[in-house]
Amino acid sequence: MEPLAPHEKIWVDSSLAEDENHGELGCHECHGGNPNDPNWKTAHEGVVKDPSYPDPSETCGACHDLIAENYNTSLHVTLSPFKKMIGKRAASDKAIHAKVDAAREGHCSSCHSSCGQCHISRPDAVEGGLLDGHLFQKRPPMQTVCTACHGSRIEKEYFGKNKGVPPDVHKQKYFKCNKCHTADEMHGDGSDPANRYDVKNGPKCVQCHDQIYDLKSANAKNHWIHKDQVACQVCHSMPYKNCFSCHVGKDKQGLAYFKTQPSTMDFKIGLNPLRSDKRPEKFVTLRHVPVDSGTFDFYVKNGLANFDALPTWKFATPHNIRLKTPQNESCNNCHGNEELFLTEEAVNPKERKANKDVIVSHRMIPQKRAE
Amino acid sequence: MNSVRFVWGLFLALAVGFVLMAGVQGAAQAAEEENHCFTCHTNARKLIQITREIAEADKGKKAASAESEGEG
Repeated sequence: MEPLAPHEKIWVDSSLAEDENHGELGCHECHGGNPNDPNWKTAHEGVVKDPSYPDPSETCGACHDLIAENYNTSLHVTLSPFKKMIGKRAASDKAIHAKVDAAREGHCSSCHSSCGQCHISRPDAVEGGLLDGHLFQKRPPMQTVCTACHGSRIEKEYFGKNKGVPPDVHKQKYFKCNKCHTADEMHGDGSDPANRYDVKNGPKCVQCHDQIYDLKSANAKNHWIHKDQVACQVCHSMPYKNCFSCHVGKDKQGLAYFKTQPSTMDFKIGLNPLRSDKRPEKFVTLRHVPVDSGTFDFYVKNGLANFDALPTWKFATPHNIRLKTPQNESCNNCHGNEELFLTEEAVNPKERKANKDVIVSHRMIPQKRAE
Repeated sequence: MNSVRFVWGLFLALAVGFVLMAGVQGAAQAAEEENHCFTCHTNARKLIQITREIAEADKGKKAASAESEGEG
């Protein structure tokens, strides 16, 4: 995504004044500063660029009180799973744990969003800039907001930007992100979900595809055979991106940097690490996440001493869904096809212990079928 | 009779003067309270000029590290 020119980032469309809901608000009522001062330098003293972060209660919340009430439980604001996951991997020594926490805060927390950074501007994490001249966007635009952050994996999958992999079929039907990911999911509901799959209002394929188990529907038999055994993505997603070895630090000028190894396109079926009544499937698609035992070495040696506490191949829902995929062309494209499964050999030996609960043993791989 | 006319005339003159003064003062106050945020931020030419000034002042300052490698 092309960044905006500096003046474009702060240009306001004068038709904002005609917005029946927000047009009568003075700029300073949300942003502070002195609107009567003709000197731009002094006029900007005390100006708050994003008045909806970290607390929107006095601004957006003055009218949108029900949404603002749950703001602090929206994963887009809290990024709480980062804290939880990295906390689980971190050394139990308090001093080391604190250093890891500070490093995570300094590096990983910059990717948060807010009311304003979805509905008024591009997120700060992608250099910001007003969307459509500060006109309020009821539905955040997909490419300048959602995939501006969710770019490396979701954007490339959904739009078919990974070489040789077609776009998601839903993209070809012109679905925007909010078709599946509703405002209720985005805004938080007051609970503290363990991860994004734990969010109560998250999408489920069967919400739309509610007739796949109907005996009169096409392919009902296959859907019944695999029901609660494999996740939809196991049959219907294409190869997706996996990331490795993220290391963070600061350069000589004190600016934060990250380094990751080149990502790879892969497709791995593993055991469901989030198996529950809500997600009963035994087999799911797993994606390698960039965390590494040395991610925070720049700040503290052996910071992630409990690295093996969680798998590095994580539950994934690739966004490149197709009706026909290489693995569902025939039964034996999957059955007996060890290449598709996250076997011990497919996992970096240093990470086998961490992934012990998601690795598929050879005897668990469904046997070839007589066709 | 003349004195009544005089008083009425004086009263009218004062009233008209007061209204005129209030109008002038109101206009001056309105000019003083011009919303400079809005007039400046809706003026692309002004914004280009100011952002150039800022860029000149920030010359040499880096916003992001050049050492980042790979996909985030």
